Amino acid sequence: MDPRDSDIEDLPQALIDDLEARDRGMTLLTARVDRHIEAQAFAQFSARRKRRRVPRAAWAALAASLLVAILVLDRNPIDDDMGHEIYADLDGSGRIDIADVLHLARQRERLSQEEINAFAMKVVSLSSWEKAS
Amino acid sequence: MAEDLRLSDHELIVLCNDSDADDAALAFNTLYRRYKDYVVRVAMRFSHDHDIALDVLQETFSYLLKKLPPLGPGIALSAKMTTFLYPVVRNISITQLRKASRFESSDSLDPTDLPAPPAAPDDDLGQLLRKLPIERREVLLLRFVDDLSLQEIAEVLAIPVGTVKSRLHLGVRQLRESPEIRKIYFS
Repeated sequence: MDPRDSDIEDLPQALIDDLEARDRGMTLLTARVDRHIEAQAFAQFSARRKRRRVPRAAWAALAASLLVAILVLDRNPIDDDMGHEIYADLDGSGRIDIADVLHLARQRERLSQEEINAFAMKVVSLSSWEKAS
Repeated sequence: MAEDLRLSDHELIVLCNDSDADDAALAFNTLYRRYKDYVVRVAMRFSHDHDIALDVLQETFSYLLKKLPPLGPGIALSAKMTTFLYPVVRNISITQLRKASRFESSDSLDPTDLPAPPAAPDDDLGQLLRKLPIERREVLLLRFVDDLSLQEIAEVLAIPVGTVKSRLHLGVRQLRESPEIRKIYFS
């Protein structure tokens, strides 16, 4: 161990107090810098907020694309293999599509949720099949 | 002004790195308010100039912001916040002083080129501090005012522990050998 270490920790407390007092006496009015830093932090972290919004926008675009694909591709009536009247052009648009599912959903008092779901699944699967072909 | 978060420095840094925009801004502003006086004090040790110290304060926290996402990769705080801040403030202070043309332009500014504390107002201790070479004064203040260990001083100054001990020894001896200081503090 360096013999000089014994000197290092040995300043009188009064001297340390005065050193601290001189150093801590150097406080300044920082209002200008306060405002600048606060604004800079807000701007930078807002960019983080915008970055995290992108996935939500992507999901919205995907949903819109799916809806457009359904409306464009599904121009033919769906065969009613169950003999049920719900697979039809209910809104009179000339095609069976997601709008007809919505029309059905408004008539829930006479239809079960399972029937509405089945219709929706059939509309979507037909659209996908037509898109693939 | 927003309310400060009652969290540790490490927790605030984690929020700055990873949380959403509002929490990150609140955490950063809490750190700023917690350490702005410290940054100003360290800057004043080098510059002794209020305007430069305020510029250093602004530059220091702008630098930290750029380290945080989305601009930077984030901050890894492995030591005390003051230990992390000191070298940043020191380097920015020297850069600001160079910009202010207070020194001859050179790529490597020697700390011994830094100015002594202001001449007035002054007392015996102030006069003696002015006479101390900056590297001894700096180590004395880090040890006895900032309360850093020898190892921490070595890390923030990027020098060997032996050099820290040597500078401390010489600084303390210079204080002790002053008749005025001896009379007031060592009698």
